[in-house]
Amino acid sequence: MNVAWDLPARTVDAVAVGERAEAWVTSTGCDAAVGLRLALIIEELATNTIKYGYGQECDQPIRLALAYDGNRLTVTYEDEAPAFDPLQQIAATTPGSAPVGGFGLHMIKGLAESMMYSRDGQRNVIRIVLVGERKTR
Amino acid sequence: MDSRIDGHTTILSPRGRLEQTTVAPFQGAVTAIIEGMSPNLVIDMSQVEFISSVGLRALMMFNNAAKKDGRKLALAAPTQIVKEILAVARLNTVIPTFATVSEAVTAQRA
Repeated sequence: MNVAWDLPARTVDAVAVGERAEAWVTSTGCDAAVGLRLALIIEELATNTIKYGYGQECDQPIRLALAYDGNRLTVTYEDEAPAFDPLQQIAATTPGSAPVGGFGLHMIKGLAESMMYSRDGQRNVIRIVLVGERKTR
Repeated sequence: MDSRIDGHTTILSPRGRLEQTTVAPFQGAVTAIIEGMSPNLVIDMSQVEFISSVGLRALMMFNNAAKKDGRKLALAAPTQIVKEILAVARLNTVIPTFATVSEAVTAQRA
């Protein structure tokens, strides 16, 4: 199962898409906690893009794609801001210590099973995997 | 957002999600308490669905402001996901966190 959204780099849109993504994930049968983690991760990624990538709320693009295989939820998040590897930032800081992504990036890494970064042309591409634990029936 | 006073402690009970678009009323309420007369503050987290980095930053600032004035801030009854977030952000090592509101209030009396 797959779904994708294109949105402008605006907080209100990111929060709304986070809620839609959460609803989609829980509709697949995932535990509600997975949906909450996902909504949080989307908000944190978008906040970093808006505040530090594009530098402001704007109409520059963000793309979010979700793929769920019945076990793992893969989140692919892209923006066209200048190159920024969040994993290097996480490795170089402790939570709350850095002005850029002080808590947010550490939260994303801590809530995810895995996190990868690549620069693809003009795009930052972040792939995050969450374990899509099923609801207890 | 409910608040009540128990002895020398104000107990604030935010609800829902503490994220970019909802954190402002929470920040306002806590700031008013810190700037007010109550010596200590317990934030009852039991009705908080999740807290994003903007909420964590607010908690950190409140903790610093309270400590500066010789007051105490504690968190109580976080849900599983909030507990997980506090641990990932290591805020649980900075701000005392208790399983229940009454434990937090009792600890602040000590």
